[in-house]
Parts: sequence; C-alpha cells; structure tokens
Amino acid sequence: MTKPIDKDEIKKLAHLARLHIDDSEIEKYTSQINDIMQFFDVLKKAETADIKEEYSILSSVNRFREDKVSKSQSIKDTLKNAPDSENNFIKMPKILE
Amino acid sequence: MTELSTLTAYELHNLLKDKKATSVEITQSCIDKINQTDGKINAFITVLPEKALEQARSADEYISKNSSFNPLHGIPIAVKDNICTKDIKTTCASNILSNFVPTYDATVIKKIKDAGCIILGKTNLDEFAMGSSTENSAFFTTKNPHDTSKVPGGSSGGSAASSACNQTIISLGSDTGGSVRQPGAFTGTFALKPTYGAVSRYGLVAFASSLDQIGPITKCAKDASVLLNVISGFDEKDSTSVNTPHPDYTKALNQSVKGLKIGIDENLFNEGLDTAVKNKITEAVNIFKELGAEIVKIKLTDLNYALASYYIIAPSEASSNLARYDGARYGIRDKSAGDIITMFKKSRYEGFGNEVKRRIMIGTYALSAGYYEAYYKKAQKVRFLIKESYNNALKNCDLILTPTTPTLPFNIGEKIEDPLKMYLSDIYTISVNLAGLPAASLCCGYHGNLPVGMQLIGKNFDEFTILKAGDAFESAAGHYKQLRKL
Repeated sequence: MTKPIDKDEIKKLAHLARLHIDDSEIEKYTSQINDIMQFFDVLKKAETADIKEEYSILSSVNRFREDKVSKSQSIKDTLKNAPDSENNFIKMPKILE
Repeated sequence: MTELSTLTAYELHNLLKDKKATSVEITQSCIDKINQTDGKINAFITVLPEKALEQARSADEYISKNSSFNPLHGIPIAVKDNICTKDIKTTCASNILSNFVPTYDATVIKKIKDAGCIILGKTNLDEFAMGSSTENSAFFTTKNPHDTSKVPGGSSGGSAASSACNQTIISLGSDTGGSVRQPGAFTGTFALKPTYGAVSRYGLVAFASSLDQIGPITKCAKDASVLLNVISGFDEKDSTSVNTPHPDYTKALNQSVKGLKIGIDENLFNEGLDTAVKNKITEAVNIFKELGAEIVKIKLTDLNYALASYYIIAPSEASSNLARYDGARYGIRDKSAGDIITMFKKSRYEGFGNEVKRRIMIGTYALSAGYYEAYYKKAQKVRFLIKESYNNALKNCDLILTPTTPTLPFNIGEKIEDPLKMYLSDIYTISVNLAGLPAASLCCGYHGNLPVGMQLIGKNFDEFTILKAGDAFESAAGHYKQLRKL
C-alpha cells in the first residue's frame, strides 16, 4: 500500500501548485487526497511490462507549415482582460525589493 | 398549437423551408421557455435575448432570399460556458474567470455562426468541467428538469437540461470523461462525444487536453447528425485535430440496422448496476434484436483500471493547463498581496473551488519528481491496455452497447462530500475517453419519471454507425418524444 501523504506534504504540494491553503482546510484535503491516492493502488496489478512508452493515443505526426506572417490579436484586445495594465504592458506586483 | 421550442431542429428546418415558421418565432419561443422555467432549472449563466433575436431577424432575411440553406440556419443553440465566445462572457463556472470576456470565437462557434445558428446563451457546468452534477459550479446548481430534487448530471449539466426542457433546440457541451454522455443519460437527451481529433478544440478552455472533445447534446440523433456535420472537420489551429474526410452524417438517418453487429460485455451488467437501469438496457437490446441487429458477446479486459488511470491523467493535465490562471493576464487578481508569489497563491485560492484545487494538487503530486513513474507513466501505459481492449472487441462487432451510468439521476447533495463516490458515476464513460473512441448516450426508457441512458461506442471516426443505430432505435422506441412534455 502507498505511504499516506501527511499534512506537511499537502502544504508543500499546495505551495508547488501555487495555491494558498487555509490551516482549517488541511485536514479535509489530506484525508480526501489520501483516499483518492489509495484508490490508485489498483493500477499496481495492471500488467504493463510489455507496453512501450507513448504519449498520444492517436498516430501523431509532425505537422509542418509555411513560416508566414499572419494577423494576431491586437495589443488592445490582449490587454482587455488584464487585471492591471499601463501603456502597453500588464502590470504586476514587485518581484524584487 | 405545439410550442415551437419543443420541436427538433430537423422538424423546424422543414417549417422554415415551407414558410410556416420564422426564426424569430422559434427564438422567441425558446426565450419564453427560458423566462418561464430557468428560475427553477438554472441552466443558463448568461442569456442573450436581444442578441439572439437580432441574429434571428438576419436569419429570416437570409431565408427569405435563399431557397436552400443549412439545416441549422435560424435554429437556436445553447453553448457550454467553457467554449470561448467573442464579446460574450465565458466563465467556466469559476470565480477566477467570472469577469472574462474572450476576444475571439472558438472554432466551433465560428462554424455554428457561419451555419446560421442563433446563440441563445451560455450554460452552467461544473467548474472547469470537473464534476458529474454541476454542483461544483461556483455560481449555482442546475436542476434536473424531470425532477428538480435530482442533479442533471455533469459537467455539461446546463446544456443537457436546457436541451431536455425545450429552453433551446440544440446545445453544445464538452466531454472529458463522460461530461456530455452522463448528463445526456440523466436528462433523456442524445449526447455524442466525437472521436478525439474529430472536432476542433480551439477555443475550448482546456481541462485535460488529451481527453477533451466538444460534442452535441440534442433531443434526438437526427439533430446530432446535422450539428456534427457543422462542427466536425480539420482545424489547423488545433494541433491534435485530425485531417480526415467526414461523411455527410445525415446519410446515417432512416437506415436499417439489419445485420449490424452490436457487442455486449455481460460483465458490465453485474456489480454496481441499478436494477432499474439494467432492465431498460435489456429492453433496448431486445429492440435492437427486433430491428434485425445481431447481438455479439464480447469481453472487455482491463476496464477495472480505467477510473484510476483517468483520475491520474486528467488531474495531471489539469494541473498544467490551469497553471495559467494566476491573476496575471486575465481573470480575478487578489490585489492585497505585496509580492508576486502571494498574489498567485491568493488569486488561485479565491478563484478556484474545492474540486478544482483537489485535482490540481493530485495532478501536481502525480507529476512531481519521484512519483512520476509510479503514477503518470503507469496510468499512460494502462491507457494503452484499455485502448487495445476496445480495439480487439471492435474487431468482432460494429458497436458496443453499455449502460451510460450505473444509476438513475441521484439527489442533489447526495455525493458532493465524497469525491470517489462521485467519480464512480462516470464508470462506463471514462474508458471511452482514454481510448479516444466516439460514443453517444441516448434515452432507452424511463423508470417512473427518470430517464435511463444507454451508451453506443463506435470505432475510431465511425460516428456514422452510432448515429445510424441511434436514429433507428429512436424511430422504433420513440422515448425522445417524452421531452415535449417538459
């Protein structure tokens, strides 16, 4: 059986996923995520030794195209949904002090 | 007089051709129905009555000048709110996109507009299409029009409910693990998930890119065939779109199914299947026999791994796809944060609901160093076992028939606190997405006032046979006409 994920790991996961998590919620997430992860144990029984690694279920082929200039979205449209912008830029909080 | 909104697109096209109805009348009939019923059903996030009537007026003008026009010209459609519509809010039923107005149309939207469809509005879903009941919508829960104490299924619950109760003539949903078929079954509609790559995903907000497909939810197979004619086809804007010819799907209608081989795996009819569902499926099999189809026994191996494989692959892809919602370029931003990482975390915390956060964390875990081989890679390999299993079975038959869902529509609130229990409602549909195959759910009868759905699974790019069998069944059984009473 898979080793259960503890509360510290849930906090670390939330950080990796860039999700704030309230202390009051950690317990619930830990138990629900553990239930789900444990459910995945069934896969250990699946015989997959002979299967080669592939990542598309379709016979994927590279699709080439001419390197042509075409119309793209305008700056005005691009900024329409931005929470904050100035001139032609999206404005963000400080990265460095 | 029959209300126009209760008719099918197929019937309405004939009325339009014979000048016995106008698109404005049809559209108004749907708007009236929305006004009368949506306070109770909650199918729509956004309704666009003025825009719709304006489009309908143009459609009528076009129809008055042209003797031949697309079967969907002037026909109202409802669109799931995770498909981008230019200048119309597209929220994914999430707080994080509650103010998002796309500046472009998804390819399917461009196609339905070109065909002359009238867009009535945007329908409710489980947030980012993650769920099986619409209870995960950040805004409200859609009710099942057959019994408002029940869920309509999900994630395309709004589209399915609106098609079922005649608020719209046809609708579009999206299906990642059963999200058009399961609500199709719960509402008694015809819901088709096309082959992966058959319909462009450009402009569909990505959940799990290797599984997502846009599909029609309609009152009957006939309407699905005209809608599939419009939305299918190669699109260079979707790198997984497949460049293959599509037949005229309406040629599948009114055909005999004599000699059609329908595969049944009896193991799927045992554990966990409600007797009420089982009985209706058995009746459906008998109807197919009477119509001259041949029932073939098949064995689908490895399906017991499908749910686990799916719930690793889908959240993994979701955790990558949803990384873009960080409050930077669009959507909701938490403005209280002083630094950028806190801004990301707070915006996502406020913007996403519980199921979305849970799946992002599971996906992040499955993809993280040290666990990738055990989870993601293993799940991908299992996916191939499942694909092989279906391909082998489909060598001996033309279609596979299964129940769509193991139970009748369940109560609102019944499964929301137990994610695993909720996941089980997609047990029959999920493996089909893993294999990339086309499949439809259609109504095969009612238990009391609740519909039961059966699933028809076809070979790759053989939606034609699914529509042929679906239409023949509907013509013989006629269950779809029940929707007129809603």
